[in-house]
Amino acid sequence: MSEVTGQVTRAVVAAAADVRRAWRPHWWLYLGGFAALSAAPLVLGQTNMTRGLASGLYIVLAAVGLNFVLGLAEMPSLGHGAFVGIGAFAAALLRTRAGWGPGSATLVAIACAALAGALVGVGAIRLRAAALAAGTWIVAWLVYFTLAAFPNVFGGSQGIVLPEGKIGLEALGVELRLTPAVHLEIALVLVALSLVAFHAVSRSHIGFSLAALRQGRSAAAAVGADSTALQLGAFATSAAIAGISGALTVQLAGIADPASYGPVLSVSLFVAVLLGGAGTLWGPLVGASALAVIPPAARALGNGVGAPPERFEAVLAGILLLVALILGRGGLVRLLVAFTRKQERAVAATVDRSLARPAGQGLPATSLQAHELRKAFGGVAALDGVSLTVEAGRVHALIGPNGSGKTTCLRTLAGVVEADEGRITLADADITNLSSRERLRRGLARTLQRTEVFPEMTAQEHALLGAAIHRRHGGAIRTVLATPKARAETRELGNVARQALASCGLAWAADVRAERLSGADQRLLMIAMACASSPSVLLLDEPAAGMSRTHVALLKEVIQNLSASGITVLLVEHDLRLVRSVADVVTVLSAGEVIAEGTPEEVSGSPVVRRSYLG
Amino acid sequence: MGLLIQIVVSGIAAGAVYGLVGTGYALVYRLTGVVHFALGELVGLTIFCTLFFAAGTGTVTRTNLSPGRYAASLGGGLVVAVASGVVFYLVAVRPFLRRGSTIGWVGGAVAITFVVRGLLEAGFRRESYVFPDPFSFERFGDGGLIDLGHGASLPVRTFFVIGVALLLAVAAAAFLDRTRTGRGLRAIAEDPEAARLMGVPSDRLLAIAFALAGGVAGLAAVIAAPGAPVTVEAGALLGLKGLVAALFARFELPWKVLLAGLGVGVLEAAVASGHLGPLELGPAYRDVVPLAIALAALAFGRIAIGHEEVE
Repeated sequence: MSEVTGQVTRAVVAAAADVRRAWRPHWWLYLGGFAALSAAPLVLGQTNMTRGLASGLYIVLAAVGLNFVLGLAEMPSLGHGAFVGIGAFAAALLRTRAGWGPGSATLVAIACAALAGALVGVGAIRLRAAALAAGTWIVAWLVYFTLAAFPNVFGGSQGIVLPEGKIGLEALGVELRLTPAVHLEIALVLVALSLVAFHAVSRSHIGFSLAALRQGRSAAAAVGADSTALQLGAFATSAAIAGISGALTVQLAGIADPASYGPVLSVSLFVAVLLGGAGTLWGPLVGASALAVIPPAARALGNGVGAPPERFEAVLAGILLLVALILGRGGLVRLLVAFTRKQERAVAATVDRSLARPAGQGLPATSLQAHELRKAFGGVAALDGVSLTVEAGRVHALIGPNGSGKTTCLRTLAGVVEADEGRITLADADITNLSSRERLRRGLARTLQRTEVFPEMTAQEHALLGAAIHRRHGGAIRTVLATPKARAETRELGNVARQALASCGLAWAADVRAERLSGADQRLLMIAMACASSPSVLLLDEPAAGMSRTHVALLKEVIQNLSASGITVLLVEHDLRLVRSVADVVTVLSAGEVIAEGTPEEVSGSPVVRRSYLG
Repeated sequence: MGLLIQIVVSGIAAGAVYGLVGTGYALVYRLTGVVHFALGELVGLTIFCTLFFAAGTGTVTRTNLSPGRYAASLGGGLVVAVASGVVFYLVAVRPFLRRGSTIGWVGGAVAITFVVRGLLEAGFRRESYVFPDPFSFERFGDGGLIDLGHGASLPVRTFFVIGVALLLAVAAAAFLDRTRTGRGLRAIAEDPEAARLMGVPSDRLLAIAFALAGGVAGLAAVIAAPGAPVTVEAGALLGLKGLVAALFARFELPWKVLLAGLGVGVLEAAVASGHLGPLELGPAYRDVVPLAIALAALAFGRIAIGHEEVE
């Protein structure tokens, strides 16, 4: 018993230390702000001020929820007010028609909103951003029209009047009336929790994956970021948070009025997040607060021109948003930060290109085989019965003239392109029908032909993303709660990522953002990212493309280093000098067929090869 | 039978306007990849500016306007429609298109929506407004109505709206087909990739697209406006219906969008009248059903407007 208690205590202390580290340097400021707001009812009493503050905090909550979609996943949803509305009316109907208590009604209302969010999300993730905005905009109107169209269900313009709720704490024999002050405390705790969750997710592999997906979709897919699951998860989570906000707002207001949950609410939430800074932790809070400051300003303006002030609120909000947008991503928060802190200096890292051995050595080397692969695009056969054996531990090069099917071959092996016919085996296991993600998990990693990195992420974050494919304890809930297992795994994968960078001579660049790296270093970073998934077979698609002589020499050393540590390499390359110096075996493709195979010397002497290259 | 004719004809009249607003969306989307979320509000701005030029913010009856004043206000409204389209492009779209930021232009459109709606509400504070008519249709038929029997009737004005909308559509199509600028726009719209290879579409051409979208949609809305009391929200609603029409037509110019608009209009009228085949419906479903169908179509890929290629 005492042992368990000890373990739990240690875990809690460690978690608390982690939280404090994560929220440095201003943690006392956040704590103070929280304490001050939670003491507000003592000063304000049960007044309209308290009520207004509580309902404002519920708006902030919904905006933080929207930030998961708008900021992390960068999906422009114009329909989040609909989920607030669904939460609100589900709670109102359950309270009044079914006579449920506040607790159970709220929980079911959240589930309704989450379900609606998942449904909309399933459609939304298939759409491009522009169409997604249009679709969610229609959702906002649809929910609004539906609420307004059935007055006998949803109360029409009168709304549904709710009784004041009581939470019975039977164990203590106390009944707690849900007064505005209680709502304020609930709202405060929920906002704090949602901010902590947002912070945890955005700094985790989930956040990195979402950031990667919005900065470079192909490259993110190549390291196994699962866009469907992540974006759908973000959408449903954010709809659920919107639902919480709605279910509680309606109980605070005591009335459910369809007109309050129209498209204007959706747009206001969108504005709040963008204004404050999409993707920033404090953006929704700052943005919603800025919107709250607008009414007094509008009153002053209205008095000035003798018009009703509320008309100018929208005008001011619009102008403010336009200004924030022109300032760019980051909104007001970035402005405030730039004001108080000096501009982030470029990390002047000393370039040290010494190579370290990659992690995960000591495993037996793996072979990769292709049998009679065929693939046609339209009527053109890109692969016309290609068989290839990449022996374990070798560096195998695939060369051939343009359009000979090299890249198609590589992409078929990686599982990005499905072969029409043929079989692929990895370490004698048939992987023909596995997805590219599953192949990656089994140790078959690849790099892209184009240079595609995630400009705003550091090299270390790139490598962490590559390493995340092997997470076992990386679910969203574990990540948010930072369970001991998840934290241990994070540390372990952090080491794997560092080693991967070091194995490609990029240890010096760990904290440098990818956009500051040279083109050649970005290409090395792509290899490091693939290496971080601890592959047994590595598929490299023209790694030397666009590299200078010096960098090609470095690339050669990197490939030799990886090979020496037991990684099997299949290399598609045009730079024959590089091929000759690193490859053990060379296969020559021409018009989708293997025309020669052998050591570099054998192949370069072959008349067939000369003919195909020189025409 | 009379009822059926009433539904179809009034549906076509409403749908023709949706189709023309949808044409605005399609034109802009095809050229820039931008969904013009502020188009509805800009249409509202056009309607109310025309009203303002005709009668200030005071009261107006449907018939107390001289044809000259009407023509002048219509012209003024048109100038507003075209100018606001261009300003919208310059302020809310162009800066973000260059950065490739979708959230940027969606936000820009939302910001303009806020500003325009706020200004309209500040200027026009009554519940609804009567819009002046260029002709007094009461002189025709039975006090402006045509009796179709069985209690069904149609305002004469409906045919006028259909006629003008048709003219506008033909004019827009002719512009796209016959003029140099129009052919340029069409070339980009039909194959943006190829057009871009020939050179990035010029600012001027894109601004013309936004101006044209605003002009066509605004004019159609102004012509149809006298049919019913006009509220400040009218523009937003027209914008929404036009967007639905454009989505149904996959933003294909110009006839498909018009047809889709007519479809939405007739569907709406049919739903509102209470019957859609065996289904018992009513006015409550009028706005809900077309939106729900559009969403389902969007979600199930019938309106797949470009999926991202992943290597």
